[in-house]
Amino acid sequence: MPQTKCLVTGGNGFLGRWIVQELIKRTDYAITILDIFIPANATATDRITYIAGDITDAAAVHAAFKGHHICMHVASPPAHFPAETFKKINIEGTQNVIDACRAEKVGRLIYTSSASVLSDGSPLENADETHPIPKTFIETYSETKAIAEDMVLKANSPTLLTCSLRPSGIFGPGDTQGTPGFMDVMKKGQHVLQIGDNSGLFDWTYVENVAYSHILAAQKLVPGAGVDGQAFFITNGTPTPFWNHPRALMAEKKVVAPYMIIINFHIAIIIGFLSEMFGVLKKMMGKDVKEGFTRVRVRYIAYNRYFNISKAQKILGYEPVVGYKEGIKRTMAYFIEQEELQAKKAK
Amino acid sequence: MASALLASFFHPSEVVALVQYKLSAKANPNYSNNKLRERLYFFLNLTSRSFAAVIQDLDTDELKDAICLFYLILRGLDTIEDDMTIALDVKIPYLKTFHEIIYQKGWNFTGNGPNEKDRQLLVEFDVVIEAFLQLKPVYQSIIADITKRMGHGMAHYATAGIRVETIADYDEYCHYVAGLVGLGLSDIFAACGESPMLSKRKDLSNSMGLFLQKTNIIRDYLEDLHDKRRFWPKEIWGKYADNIEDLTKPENKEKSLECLSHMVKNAMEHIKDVLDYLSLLQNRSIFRFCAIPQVMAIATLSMLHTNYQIYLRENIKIRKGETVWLMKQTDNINAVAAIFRLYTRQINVKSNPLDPHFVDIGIICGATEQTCVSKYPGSTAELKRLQAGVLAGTSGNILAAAAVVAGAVALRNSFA
Repeated sequence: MPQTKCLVTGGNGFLGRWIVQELIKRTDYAITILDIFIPANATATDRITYIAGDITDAAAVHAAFKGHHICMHVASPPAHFPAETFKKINIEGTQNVIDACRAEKVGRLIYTSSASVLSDGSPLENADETHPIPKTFIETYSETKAIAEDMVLKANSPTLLTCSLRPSGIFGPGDTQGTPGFMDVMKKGQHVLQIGDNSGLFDWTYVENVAYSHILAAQKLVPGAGVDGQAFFITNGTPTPFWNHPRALMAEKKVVAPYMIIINFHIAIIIGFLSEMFGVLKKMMGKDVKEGFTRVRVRYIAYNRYFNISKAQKILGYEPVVGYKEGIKRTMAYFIEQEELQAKKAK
Repeated sequence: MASALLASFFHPSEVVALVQYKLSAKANPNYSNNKLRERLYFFLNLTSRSFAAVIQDLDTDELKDAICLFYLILRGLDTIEDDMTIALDVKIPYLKTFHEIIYQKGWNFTGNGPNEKDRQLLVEFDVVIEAFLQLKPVYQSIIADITKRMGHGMAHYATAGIRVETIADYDEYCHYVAGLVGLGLSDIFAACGESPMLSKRKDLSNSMGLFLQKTNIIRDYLEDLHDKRRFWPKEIWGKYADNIEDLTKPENKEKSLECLSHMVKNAMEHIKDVLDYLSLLQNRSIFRFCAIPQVMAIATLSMLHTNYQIYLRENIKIRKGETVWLMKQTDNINAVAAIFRLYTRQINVKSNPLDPHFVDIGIICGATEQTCVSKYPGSTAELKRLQAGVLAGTSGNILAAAAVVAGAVALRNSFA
């Protein structure tokens, strides 16, 4: 039997790299990394091939997919990108991936979706896969992820088996969004601020667990296993009060806020509203507006937002391989090391 | 009463509860038509005030008597075990055969030292035995079985010494002194027609006892230290100190607090079982009987968490007003789940992020919330009600304070 070939889109991104590592560790697949950006020092090995290519370029995607058995479609832009980019990459890009899978007879497609496909701004408590996809979304990112997921799941057929994974709050070494964001807040001394009473729970997921779930999905995505055409929530299974997370990260640096300023939820909503109005005014005056303190963000932070992962446990056999506490330690060990390296460079 | 009211000054919802409690306080039930029962309940009140109150609120006399006797028999056993003036070779046979002694009409025991506080119970133990023999045989055998197991456990600890090295030792010790009570009560409930599931779920029954016992063991650290008893497992305290008494040293304060949160985390691991157990109960009076001590335990645990006072003084307790307020709220599983959510949130807020157990305690708090939301969805509304009550009370207090100030100013002005 020829070696199974697996292509990872966005394989050079934060999650993509972890998935590649897990593939190396847990499978004997040959791996192709398709990414818009391939670092200069990336060298192919007997198991890894690099292809630089844009997911929105249909011809390039087709060419790259040739001869592969599995596709893990991970590529997605980070949250601060403009709405148009999301539509282009998440929707058009995913259509290219589906088309290429069909044309090149790639038999299995695993889509990296997001728990935010349920984000309509209302609280999510023990939400499972039966929870309906909302009609309106709090942001373009969630909306485009939901549309792309729907496309992938609808493409499921006997010749192309598809499934979708919905991780929530991914963090870990190499994290480009969440953890550095919290570290910025700390540097600015804003970590003394807390919105709400910290009763809202949030599901954080250590990146290695998310990567591991992709391996399970690839292995179980076979006829009759109940995986094809299905979506699965993936978390660490340990929702915690939202503000515990940045505090735990900081505590690894032995930093703790000397005092706390707790902003009542309702007052925060009013501030968010005013800040949005201010933004609208600035826009009307033709100035550039960065999305800042909005009502959506206040709700996102203060509301419950946690999921029920029993479907992934039952059907994929998923259990987190790294606990939440250990994940925090490993993440901060990495970031502290990075900081030290940068400090040395600066000297 | 006055001091309790004063202590609750900043918690007006407790003041309301205290006053209501005082006004509605029932006279002790009248057993004067039955000399035997009168004596029985006299002893119950003598040996345990808190237990006496909840027992007497049970629905039927059958259940009341069975549980009252279960309690008094274990208290009798404990009174022999606890008395250091009794020689070991005298004590051990009593502990091992107490489950047979309770079938011997007319038996009593005068071997306790004069300072033993429950001495009189054993001096008149024939009363307890007489009543025990009038119970339905099913209750007799449940009580005798637990008495046998507990007596053997006590005999083991009396001979070998209580060596709580590992967490498993700690769980085992707590099983003998408290978990067994939970098992016995479940069997008694099942025998009188409560959910038969109860006696099948031995793990849950055991956790009911362990959660209470562990909370007490944490609270009583200093008292036990002074009495040369040690129940905290070395597997835990050994991580923070070379000797358990070093935890009281000011220079070890940081480590001592870490040790405390480790103990609190360990106790919190039983919360899920406690709620599962309580949710199986159908009868309201049995529910309250079981739930009130658990609610007190979570309130106590919240008070103990990160509280360095446990190393400085004995006899730390939650306010009387808080106790009464909690008793008033303990009515159904949703209310109890709401109380647990209220206190686990408090625990999380009190946690120090630099503490090594910060993340784990947060996870247990999150798990409690998650369980309550999925299994006891009504607890969310109950929680809002509790919080609103506390808040309304506080703002009422501020208003009252403002009124007093305004009044004083007005008085001053009118005299000026």
